[in-house]
Amino acid sequence: MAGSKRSAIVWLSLIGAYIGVSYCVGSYKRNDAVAADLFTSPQECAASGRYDRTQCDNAYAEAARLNQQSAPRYNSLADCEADFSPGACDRVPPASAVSTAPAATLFAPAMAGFVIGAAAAALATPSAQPVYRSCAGQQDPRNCSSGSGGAGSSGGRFFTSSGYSVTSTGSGSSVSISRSAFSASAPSATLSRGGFGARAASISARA
Amino acid sequence: MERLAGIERADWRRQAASVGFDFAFADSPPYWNESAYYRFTLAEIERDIEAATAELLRLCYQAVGYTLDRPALLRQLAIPEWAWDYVKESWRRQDKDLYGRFDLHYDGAAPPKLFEFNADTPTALFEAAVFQWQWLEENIAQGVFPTGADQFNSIHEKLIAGFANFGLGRRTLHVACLSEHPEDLLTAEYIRDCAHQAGIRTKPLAIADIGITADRRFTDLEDEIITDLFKLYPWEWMLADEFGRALPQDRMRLIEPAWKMMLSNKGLLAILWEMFPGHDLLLPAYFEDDPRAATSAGPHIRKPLLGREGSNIEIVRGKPVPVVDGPYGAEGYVVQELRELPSFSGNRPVIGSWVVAGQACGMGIREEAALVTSNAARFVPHIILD
Repeated sequence: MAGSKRSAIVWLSLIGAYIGVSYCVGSYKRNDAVAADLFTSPQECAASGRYDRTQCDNAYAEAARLNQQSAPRYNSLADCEADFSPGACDRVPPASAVSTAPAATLFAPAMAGFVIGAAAAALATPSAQPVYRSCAGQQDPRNCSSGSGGAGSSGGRFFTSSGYSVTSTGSGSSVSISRSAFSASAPSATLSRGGFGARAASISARA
Repeated sequence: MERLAGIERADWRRQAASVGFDFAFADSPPYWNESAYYRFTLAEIERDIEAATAELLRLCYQAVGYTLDRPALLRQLAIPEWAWDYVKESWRRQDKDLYGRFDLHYDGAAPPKLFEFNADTPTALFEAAVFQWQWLEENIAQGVFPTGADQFNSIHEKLIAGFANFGLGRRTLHVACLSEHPEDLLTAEYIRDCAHQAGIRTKPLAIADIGITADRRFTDLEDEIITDLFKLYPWEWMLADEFGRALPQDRMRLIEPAWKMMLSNKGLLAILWEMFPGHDLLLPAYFEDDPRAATSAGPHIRKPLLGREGSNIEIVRGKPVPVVDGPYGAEGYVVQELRELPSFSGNRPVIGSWVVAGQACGMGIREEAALVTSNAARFVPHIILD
């Protein structure tokens, strides 16, 4: 109608009956956490009694393979050490084997251990991911990086190569981690997640 | 302007639930209230609300440049100094803004007065743009209202047109919000729907799932670089978060753009009054530490610079009202002359006047009995009928 002050038609393409709101809304949800175990060596893994020796060796080998492929790469040693800790980074080859450019000097943090998905405990080769210890933000980085053992035993925070943080869930090797951490198979560029949203827990953004 | 009794549609709850607007009736009394409605004349809408909103937006755009040129004001607004150049660059580059909601005092008699501008993360969008529209169309179809009844509400059309004009081309728009709040989820999903209808590829994302690469680019869960981000998350929180300092090093474009921080801050009210003293759409307002604030004699209202949903707002030297406790106020306060909301049989409406892509284009009314409108307010639809 001429001179109308309202929309001629209001049509929703994503919201509503066709796709289903729960699907759409679900994709804004943070990734589900799953239970996992964090070990610094296959020996520590076997000693835990939670996995047998073969499982531990296979998981370690898988994590070490992924580490070669997807450890976070830095152009400078200083940048790498700033994100992890002094002395934690080494010179490494580029992640991609196919490169026509002259080999760049890259740095990556040393693998500090590996996580095993607890749900895969029955498999001969449990899904595993390398983890890296970050002492960024810690008061005493040297003390942070000297610890050994599981997630709860020393300072610093553990991350996978895709940037998922590993959270200790009490004693021993038990940790929780995003389900997606185990499905990220491609070499990943993302170093860290969760750096936005700190104020999110209790307050709505609406105004 | 009058408040009239409405007849509730039998199935409005089912309709609300089918589009994720469950919070319309989750509380008692329900947030969506169609047992009443407001009627306006076309002159009230065009002369008072629409024209006033366009004028206020013009003043606000002037205030952005004015504020960015004055370090003392940037400091007063609690914008961290390391972010100044980043904010200025977004203004110099003329990054487009999408939307905002002016909250106005209006009683149908005098020109409206600006209470505040929700310029960064306004919500109550879906109910104004879609559910209110549907309410009118169905009431006309059922003969409750004459076919000449109208509504100040082309928000939906303007959002789609606005997105089509954003220059996104084949780039993906990531739409991120806090995953915990149904209101935020619906607003984000509605924004994504409008972008989608404008032909833009979109991806939803939780704010907390945004990742960062070693060379300081932001990524989604599939490691796709985020080039364009709609964030239903306040700018001041983004800057304060761990990744905030990486923002100036990245080329990611954000909606709303960084310069919107000059307008979402309640300090805007004091800046507008300094720039346009005596303007008939403005109420006298000062930063709390301004000597003029102390000498303003009448009752006034004290608002945190970065408050939301009526929290921590206090009425001073007027009728005392309970302060709604909340997490805001650390950055400072503005004081604004008290203008009591008009009462329609004890219901006090505040006009939410929407601007999309620089145009005044619609209205949503929330009301409650209290003088300070909070998250307990209820949405009441409106019609235009002479």
